Parts: sequence; C-alpha cells; structure tokens
Amino acid sequence: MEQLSYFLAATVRMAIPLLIAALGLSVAERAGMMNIGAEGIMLMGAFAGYTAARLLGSYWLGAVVAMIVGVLFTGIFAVLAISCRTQQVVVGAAINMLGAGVTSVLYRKLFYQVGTGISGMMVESFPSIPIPLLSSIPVLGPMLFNHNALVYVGYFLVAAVWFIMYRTSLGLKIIACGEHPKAADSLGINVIKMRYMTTLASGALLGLAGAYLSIAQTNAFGEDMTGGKGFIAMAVVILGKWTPLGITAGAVLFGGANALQMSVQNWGVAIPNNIIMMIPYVATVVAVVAVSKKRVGAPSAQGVPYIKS
Amino acid sequence: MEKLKNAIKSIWMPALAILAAIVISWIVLTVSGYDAGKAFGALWSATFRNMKAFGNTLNKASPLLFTGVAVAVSYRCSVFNIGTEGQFLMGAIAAGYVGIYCKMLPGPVLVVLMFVAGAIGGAVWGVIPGYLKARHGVSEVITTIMFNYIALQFLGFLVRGPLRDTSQVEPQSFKIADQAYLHYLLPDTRLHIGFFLGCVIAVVMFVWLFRTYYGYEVRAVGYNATAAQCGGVNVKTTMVQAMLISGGIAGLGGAIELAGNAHYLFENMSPGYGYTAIAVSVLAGNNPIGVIFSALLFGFLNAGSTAMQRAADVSASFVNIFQGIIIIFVALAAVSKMLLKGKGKKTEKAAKKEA
Repeated sequence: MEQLSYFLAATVRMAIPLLIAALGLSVAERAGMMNIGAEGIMLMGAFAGYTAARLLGSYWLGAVVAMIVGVLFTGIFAVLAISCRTQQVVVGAAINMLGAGVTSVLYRKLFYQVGTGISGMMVESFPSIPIPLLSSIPVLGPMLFNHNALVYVGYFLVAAVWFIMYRTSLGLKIIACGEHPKAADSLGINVIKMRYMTTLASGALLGLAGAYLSIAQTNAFGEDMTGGKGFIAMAVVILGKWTPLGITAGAVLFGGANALQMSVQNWGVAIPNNIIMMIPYVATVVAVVAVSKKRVGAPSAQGVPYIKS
Repeated sequence: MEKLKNAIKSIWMPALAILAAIVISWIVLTVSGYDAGKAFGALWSATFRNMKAFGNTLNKASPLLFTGVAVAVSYRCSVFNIGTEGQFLMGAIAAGYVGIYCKMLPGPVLVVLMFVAGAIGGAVWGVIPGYLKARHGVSEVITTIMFNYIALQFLGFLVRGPLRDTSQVEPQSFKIADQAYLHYLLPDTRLHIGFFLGCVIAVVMFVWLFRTYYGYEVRAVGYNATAAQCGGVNVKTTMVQAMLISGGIAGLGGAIELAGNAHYLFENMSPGYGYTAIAVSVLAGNNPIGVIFSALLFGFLNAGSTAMQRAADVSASFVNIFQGIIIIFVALAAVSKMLLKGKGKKTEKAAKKEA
C-alpha cells in the first residue's frame, strides 16, 4: 500500500514538467507552430531557474526568471520561424544546440571552480505544501495534494488552457490560425500576431517546466539534465490530441513510466537499469503509433509558415 | 561556365554563415571575459599543428561525414531523420557483435562483414520510423528521437551486461578481433580509411540523388509529395527507401568508427554525431558532396573543442553554440535567397530545377 502510494505520488511529480511543457507546446501548435527546440528551451529554463534561485536566494524568483528566459530564448525561434519563415524543424534543431551550448558554457563560467571540481552546489528548492483536509484523503491525498507549489500551478494551467481554448474567442482564433490561416486572415484575425503570442507563451511554460526540473524536482542544475523531456513533451501533445485533458492523460502515462522505472529500482527487481530506462521511450513510440491510427486533432497548417499575400 | 557560376553561388551562402558565426562567437567570448584570440588559436592549432593532428581531424570528420550524408538523403525526401545518432550506434553494435564473435575469420573478410552488419543495423533502425511515417503518418521527428534514446540505453545495457569486458574498470565491451582493426594510412598518424570511404559514399549518393531515376523520385517526393503522387511516384515506398538508405549509411559510419577508432563499444561512442549531422547537412544545403566539406569543418571544430577548453577555459560545448549560429544563418540565407528571387514565374522555374 505504501509502495503504491509512493508510486502514484511519484507519477504525478514526474508528470508535471511534461504536462506544463506540453500544454505550452499544444497552444503554439494549435496556432500552426512546430517547435522541436522545446528541449533546448527547457534546458535554458532549468539553468536560469537554478541560477536565479542561487543568486537571488528565492525559488519563486527562480521560476519567474526561468519563464522570462524561456520567452526571450523562444523569441529567437519565433522571429526566425514566423517573420523570416525559415524551416521550423531546422531552426528548432539550432535552438537545441544553442541551449545545450549556452547552458554548459555559462554553468562552467559561473559555477565551476577549478581545482575543487565542486560545481553542483544545491539551492533551496520548492518545498512540499500539503493542502489541508484534501491531503489527508487516503491514496488520493498523498497522490495529488501533497506536492510542491509548481505541481498545483500545473493543475491550474490545465484548467486555464482548457478555458482559453474552448470558452473564449481567443481560443477559436488560435485554432483558426493553425487550421486555415488564410481563412482566419480574411476574417480579420492577425495570424502573425497570434503565432507570436502563442509561441512566446509556450516559451514561458517551457521555461517553467525546465525550472521545475532544477529547483522543484531536484535542487541543482546538471548539464543536459532535461534528457529528452522536451521531445517527450512533444509526443505527449500528439498523444493527447492537442486537448488539455488528453495531454494530462498523456503526461500521467509518461510520469507513470518514469515512476515505474524508479520504483522498480527501489523494489530491487533484477532487471538491468538500462532496460528499465528504455520504458518511457518505448512507451512514447507505442503510444504515438497507437494514436496515429485514428489521428485527429493535428492542426492542418502545423509547421507551415504563413505568408500574407 | 554556367556550372562554375552555380558553384560559386552555392558557396557564398555557407561561407557567409560561417563568417557570421565566427564574428558572433568572437564577440560573445570577448564580452564574457574569455581570451577569444587564444581560444581560436587553440582551435586552429588542434588541427594544423602537425600531420598527426591533421589525421586526427580527418578521423573526427569521418563519423560526421556518414551521418551527414545520411541526414542529407532523408531531408531530400522531406523526411526529417533526427535519428542518425541511434542508427550510428545500432550500426556500431551490430558490427561489434561480428567483430567480437567472428574472430576466426581473416581480416578483410571480417572487416567487410562488420561493415555489412553495421549498415544492416543502421538500416533497420532507420526503416522502422520510415515505415511508421509512411504507413501510419507517425511524425518521424518524434520516433527517430525516441529511437536514439532506446539505442543509447541498449548500448548501455550491452556494455554493462552481455558484452562487458570485466577486466576493465569502466563499462565497455570486449575488443573486436585484432585483424579487424583498420590500418593506419600514414606513419605517425592514426588516420584510417574511414574519411575516404565516406567521400566515396558521398559521391555515390550524389550521383544516385541527382543522376538516377530513383534519386529523382526521392527529390520529387521531397519537393512536393502530392505532385509526385499525381505523377505516379509511390510516395510511401520512396520514403521508406530513403530512410532505409539513410539509416544504412549512418550505421556503416558506426561500424567504421568501431573498426577504425574505438575498437570496442562504450556508452559515449558517439558524442552526438547524429545531432551534429543535422548542422553538417543543413550547412551543405543537403548536398552529399557539400557534406564532405562541412563534415571537415565540424570535425575541425570537434577536434579543437577540447584544446580550446584547455587553453582558454572555454567549455568544450561552446562548439554547440557555434553550430547553432551557423544553422540559423544558413536557414536565414536560404530564405533571403528565395525572397530575392521573387515570386511567380521565377519560383516555378526554381521548382523545376529543384525537381
């Protein structure tokens, strides 16, 4: 029972960064963007969050700075992909390289002490805040309501994105830009502006998701600590068919695969570590293939630059 | 004359991108308090210090040449194969099994067998995402990346488990048979035949892409899949074939890296050759012949990155930033060229030429 409860709580903890990143990506993709630079942007967020938390002494400031850096860094992608109309996959790949390079160079510059070799100094990270009453519900309580603040932010974002996409005219406009930009344009929707807005917003969430890794899930930055989570978030979006609730389910699935990997290690089952580490990646492939058979929800104009004529 | 003109035209763009990347990184280094001159000096001398260093750089360019050509072939077909990293590793693994367990075979036979095994290993790892894309419409960007991670974990499993050489402290596989080591071509260097084989493959793929019927189909699909379909090209089969070939080339690169350089399998066999390959191919305009030159450039950068770290304390991953900037500028230049050409009739002409 205790093990199950641990597993479920770990599932949620592992799912949240994917959830936050995927929610952001889904909105931008709905408007017609395809940003494979998510991995690099998350890495920048993780680094910025850690750096700010360490230098400013506050994990909340860390999260805010991570979001700002996420927006700025995504801005490069946005300008190149939207205004300059370069190939989105190519620029995304460049963003990933920049993210890996910049974080590694700066980390070395700022925190690496020659001689001691000590570099991974820890910072104070988001503490767990049990929610009164709710957290004492058996099973559900520890699973959902005894986490750090960013987990609750993740819950809130699901509702917020759902509301924006399905209950506001803004959501309709965003979807129009991704489905049929020309038609949207003829109705007076500013496609370029919409794409900028959603892409930059996704940058903020990617930055936050990155910060979650460095100052909520752990309390230090490590080079390449995202380890493919940005790419997995993209898979979660496909899996969730671009809807907030679907994405939540997808993120939980991957969180579960990750938690299983950790739990199996704890249980001391004699499966080689590397094989267990494959689980999330294999699960991604299987899940994406399973969904594709009845593939619905993909924005028609995703990844296609819009040229106003 | 016309050809020469075209060649010059196709060179100024990447040249400008490289120049821009140098200028920007020089500024970035200086602003962040590094000695940029020292850093670039170290980068330069890491290759041009002596013959041994030069051979080393050619060896470093070899895996990039294979993965770069692999990426170019798939991109020509509009399949974004981000998975050459995994295909490279699977090629090395397959070749490793042959090299470790077929010790009784004579050298040349063994080497050829390793190359074949490597190509098959990579091809299998490439053709699965290709099939999933063609048959089920699954984004190859996602599947190839996942396949990279799976291959990496698989390699980790092998060198910690079944293939582990327990006499070594670090997890690594047994060595391949001595007779399978590729010979060093020049005295005092470790230069092996890999880079030159890569050049041959690049030329072959260039001819295949631009001078044969199949290559024409591949490019037609890449340029406009719907139009190609209407023109009677089997788009799905073509995509799968492109991924088969692409994966095979990357896998062959892995086998050559194993036989020529590493001699045993270990987890960090590829420091991201498959990811750098994207930059290599994009810089070359996805032209296999061009890939030879951009692979040399990136091999030069890789060879110098550690020297740079030693001399000027710049993190070796600074090279990543350099690569990112190059890609961005090439992408920008490609667009500006399109805009300069204008729309309407001229684009049609370009379209015909492209196909």
